[in-house]
Amino acid sequence: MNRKAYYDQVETDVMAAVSRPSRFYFLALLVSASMFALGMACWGYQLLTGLGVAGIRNPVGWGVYITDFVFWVGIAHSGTLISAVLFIFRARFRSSFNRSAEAMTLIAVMTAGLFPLIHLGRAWRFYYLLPYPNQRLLWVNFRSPLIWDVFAVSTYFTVSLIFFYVGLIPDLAAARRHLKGIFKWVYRVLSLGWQGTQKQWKHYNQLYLFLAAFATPLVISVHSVVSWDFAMSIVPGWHTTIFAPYFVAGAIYSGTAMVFTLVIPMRKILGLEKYITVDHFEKLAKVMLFTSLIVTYAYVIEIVLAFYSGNIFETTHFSYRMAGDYWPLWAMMILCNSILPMTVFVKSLRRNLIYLFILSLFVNVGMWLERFVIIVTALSKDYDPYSWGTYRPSLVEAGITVGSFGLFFTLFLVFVKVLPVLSITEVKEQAHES
Amino acid sequence: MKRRDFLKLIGIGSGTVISACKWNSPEKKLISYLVPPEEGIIPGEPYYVRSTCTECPAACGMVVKLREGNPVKLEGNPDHPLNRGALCIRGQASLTRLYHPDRVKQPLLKSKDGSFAPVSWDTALSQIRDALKESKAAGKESVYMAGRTTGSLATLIDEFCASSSVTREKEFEFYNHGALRKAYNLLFGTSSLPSFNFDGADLCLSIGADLAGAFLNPVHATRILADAREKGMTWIHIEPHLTLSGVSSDRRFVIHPEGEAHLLAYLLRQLPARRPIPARLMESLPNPGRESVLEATGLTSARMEDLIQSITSSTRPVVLCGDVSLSGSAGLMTALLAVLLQWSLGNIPDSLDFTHDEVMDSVGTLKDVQSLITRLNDGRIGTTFLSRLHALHTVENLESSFSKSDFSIVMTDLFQPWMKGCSLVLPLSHGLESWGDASSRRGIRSVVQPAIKPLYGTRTEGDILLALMGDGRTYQQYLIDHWTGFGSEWIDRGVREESVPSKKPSLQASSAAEAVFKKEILPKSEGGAALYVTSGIRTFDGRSRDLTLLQEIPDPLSSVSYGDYLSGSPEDLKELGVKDGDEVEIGWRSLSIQLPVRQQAGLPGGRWMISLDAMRNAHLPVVDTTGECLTCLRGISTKRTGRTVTFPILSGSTDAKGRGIVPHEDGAEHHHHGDATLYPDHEHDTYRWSLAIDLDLCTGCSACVAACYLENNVAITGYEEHLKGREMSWIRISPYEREDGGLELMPVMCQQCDKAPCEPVCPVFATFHNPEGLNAQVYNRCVGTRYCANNCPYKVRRFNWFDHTWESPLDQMLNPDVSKRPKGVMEKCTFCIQRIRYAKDRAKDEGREVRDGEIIPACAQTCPARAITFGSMMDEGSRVKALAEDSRASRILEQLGTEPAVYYLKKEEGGRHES
Repeated sequence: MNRKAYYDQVETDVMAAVSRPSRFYFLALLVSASMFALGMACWGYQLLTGLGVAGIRNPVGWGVYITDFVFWVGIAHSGTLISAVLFIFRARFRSSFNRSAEAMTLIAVMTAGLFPLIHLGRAWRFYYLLPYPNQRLLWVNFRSPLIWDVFAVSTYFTVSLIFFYVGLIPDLAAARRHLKGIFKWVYRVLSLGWQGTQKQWKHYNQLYLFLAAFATPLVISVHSVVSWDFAMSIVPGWHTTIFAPYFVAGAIYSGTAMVFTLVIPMRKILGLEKYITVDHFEKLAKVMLFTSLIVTYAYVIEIVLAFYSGNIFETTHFSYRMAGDYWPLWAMMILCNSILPMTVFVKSLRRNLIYLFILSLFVNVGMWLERFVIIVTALSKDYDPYSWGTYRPSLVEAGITVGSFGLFFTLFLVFVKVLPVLSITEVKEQAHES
Repeated sequence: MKRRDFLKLIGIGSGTVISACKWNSPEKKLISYLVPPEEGIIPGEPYYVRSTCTECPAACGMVVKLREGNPVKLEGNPDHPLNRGALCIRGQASLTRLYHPDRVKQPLLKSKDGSFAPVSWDTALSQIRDALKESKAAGKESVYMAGRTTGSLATLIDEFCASSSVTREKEFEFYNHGALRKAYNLLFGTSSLPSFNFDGADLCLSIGADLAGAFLNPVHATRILADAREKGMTWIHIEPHLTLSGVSSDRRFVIHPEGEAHLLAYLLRQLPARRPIPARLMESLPNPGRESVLEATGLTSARMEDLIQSITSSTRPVVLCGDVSLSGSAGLMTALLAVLLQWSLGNIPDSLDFTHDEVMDSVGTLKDVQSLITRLNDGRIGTTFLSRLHALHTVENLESSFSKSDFSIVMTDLFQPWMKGCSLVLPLSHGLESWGDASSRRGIRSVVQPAIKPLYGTRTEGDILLALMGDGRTYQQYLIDHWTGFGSEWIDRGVREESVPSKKPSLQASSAAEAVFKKEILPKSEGGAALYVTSGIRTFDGRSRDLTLLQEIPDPLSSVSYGDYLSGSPEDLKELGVKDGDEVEIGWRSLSIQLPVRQQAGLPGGRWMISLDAMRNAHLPVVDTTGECLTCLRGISTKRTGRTVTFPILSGSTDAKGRGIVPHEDGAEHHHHGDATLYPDHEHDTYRWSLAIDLDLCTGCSACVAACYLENNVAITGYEEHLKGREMSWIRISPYEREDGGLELMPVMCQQCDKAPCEPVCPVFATFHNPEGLNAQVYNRCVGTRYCANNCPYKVRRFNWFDHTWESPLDQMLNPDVSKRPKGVMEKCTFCIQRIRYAKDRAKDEGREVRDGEIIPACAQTCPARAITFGSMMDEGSRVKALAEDSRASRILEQLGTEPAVYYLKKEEGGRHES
């Protein structure tokens, strides 16, 4: 097939997804939108009644909401890893995932960004967290890790958005050729008059590289900052230097799992098997395995050093984590995060897409549990024995968690129908190079 | 659109929008008083009235703080010789009784269908007069039964009964000390209950008597114990179970149930008598051999020698005995032995004062009430007057028998279920709304003065009786007539000391006493497990149970707030295979109690404890010889029922070994990790506020907790929230197990750390370090991220999970100096910053600095033991600085480098809890 025909074929195939939604699609959208609505209703109830409707208590002041926050921010990181970091390292296989991954990043960051608001006791005063000049000369406390979060997550969102948009411009131009009516007008405006001239392509590549380089350190820094919400405290089980690399690896790990969860079905449903091949998935599975090993290392080293130190607070905490009230969650976490991913060493398994999909679900659950276990077990039993107490999530917290998943999937479904899920530009480039 | 059209549209649109807004917010007028409520009362300034606490018969003197006409806080009267400026947990909480939403507001008359309808006072009084006439006509007796009454009201009741031909029954008190009074009667010919003091004493030996708990006047006892111990007195407490006294005494000896009699009989013979006992009496005493005594008490030979040596070597030992030790089946004999020991060691009359005895002239025993029950059931009683009666449920058939009289009148402030059987309910005014006086100890008269006009249509008992007598005076006038010659200054002082004819009884060789020794035998030593029915520090005999604050605050020993439970020792629970919350059935004769258990560290095996007000429907037998209720039940059977009951246990664990919390410990991680921060130290401006808490004096009575709740408008969260561990207490009593088997009760509040971990993590600077060393919490800046609470190692920060409401009229009780916190905001102890500001303002007006002792936080002010000291570390001569530099001082979790401002002085060494 000659090049032009191939290019047209790519565009047609990808743009076929951006067509009239099927009944199945509407059903999926309805389900996820209802989940989101449930979450919003629960939040409304919480705002009116008070944070007491959640299960959090003294001493466990953080629970499911912060777990969700870290979970969603973690997922976001993998997208940027795939788009930016792998781009810098010239990993070719990324081109089939990177658009979806980048969209996943944006949606996950938006979802994550809700949780600092949700868990606030007085969410209507959230603006106190922003450093705006005011008559009373009050600034935020720049020493607080929560403020670093505000800066880190908002920077991450801004940079990811710009990076995403810039990468989209040629694709939007391609899209506008295939659409009609109002959509055509919208895409024409959004593509900023892209003509595909030599000069434009040169600028595009330079800018894309620059943004990729700019986004790369954010992958490390943002989740390090989020991990410092815990590591900068004095709570035993939180106050450890390994948290930054541990959380960054964990973020990439959970993110790659979420990519599998999203892209494997999407590929099947939209018929993009030609462009997203099993080889691509196999390479991503190796990334997942690598980060799983780092996370396992972190688990082991935490435990070993706690007992090696002999510090009563550390040893009590880790004994509690492994054998206390929450031990089934910890065991599940080890199974899902450390043991099951070892099976990726087997070539036939890592080339089996159905197996990878199921494994990714386990990893998602395991990574959610990891954050829950870290947060809750550390707060349940710390320095003062009088204050020890266990935490049980309430229905409102469950509802809001479900709502966050609802928001995520709703926005992802919208993305699938509105924007090209593959980077048309890069697929064409790949064909050009091969 | 054309540009002009656009501008027109914008102009009209904004004009419409702006004019639709309200320019002027509704005017709020602040109209100042033209005629102020009373002379000298300035809005915003507190006003003080002296009165007496009426929550229990101990009658501690009180100073009532009023703001804008409402009593908002109670403090002890510093001039009162009994409580000397302190108030116990119930005294503090009695303020909530004034504003209790369920108070009876007007007389209630029972109608034919059994329901109560409100009536006017005239109707009620005429009903009473009619009933009295009918009873007389029918030849039936009318009776008057009240709780312990002292002062002028006792005289008035006598006058009323005499004039209306009403029989005055003996006063009903569950804790009537019948055994002791009978013992004094048999041996000294007077049934007075002497008061005790520790003047010049170097040893206090208390056997069973829970001096720090609810024995007579615990505020007074704690205070004189603290004073004497500071002068070097040793306190040895001997008990079969576990009480606050056992926990806070210098040495605790645990003996087997009913081993007291054996021990006392042995000591009487072993100790050299400093005052002789008549030979005949001595011969009639039981003479157990050493082996049998060791077996019966469970003491080792070495311990017994130790005890004997301690008493022999002391120059002035004082022996006290009471509570569960005297309410077993051999209570009378034990009481006689104890009194003889008191005589033998020379306690009478100096340490045990019969002249200034506890006024219990009209208080009867539970046997006296039996005759009333019989007469009621026989239908021989016409009209009954019932007033201030509590713990009636403990005597069989008592509550139900009142309905057997023709017309029963009950005077009360809160409606109790047993009153359904009565005909007429008369609402009594609270002590804070009444005139009166009380004299719990002979020679001390304290005034009851109203601080506020009655909130509802209630009246005092005195007014009711005077109205019934047709006497035109109000009770206030009656009192003024009674108080002739007193002058009026005593009302301003609140208390008056009166001279009393001196009584110095001497030991009589009483044949009656000998008869007791011949008749009664020492209790058997084998008897299986025992159940002890104890009084609660929070509820006394159950009378304060209606005050929700007293259920919100947990019991200091068990940390249980709401709910009834059984306390069991760790060994017994393990043997039964039960843990906290599992239900256990205790059987004793026909009695069967099913309650969930709570493990009690420090309680010896084979003993179970239950609070008196948890015995809802269980009747206890009355010991015939003493008239007291049997509260030591031996030979119980225990069985698990398989059910589980949830109730809030606020303590996660009592095991703090090796953590650097309990000051006593060795082997705890104490090494400091050096400078924990790169930031420079805080500079303090003029003052640096600190607290010193002397754990040797602290008894864990939790008065400080109640005072803090009331001073700082701390919300009561209730049972459901307590199950989730969401209590709001700013100060708590944390029980921790000690290595020697005892318990350390530590008051823990915000430590106001110099290097507070909560400060750097708050994203909005809602918590910051103020120049005077306080960790300040700014409520209106807090957005509620709760990072500060997570980072606090002491877990003293409390979050408002919901908006809290104070049901009217409890909202009148709120302290206007302290803001109410809305939902979503973090709060914690502030060292009573409102009191600090108040003192600083006054000092500034006078152009000076604040003096040491001028600022007293609520917890320190009410502490009966004066265990909490507040002051500035920058004041060289301050008491708190001296205490902080004492060798006994340390801080909690010092190894974390938080630099707390609260110093804990560990208990003195000297051989602690061994059994």
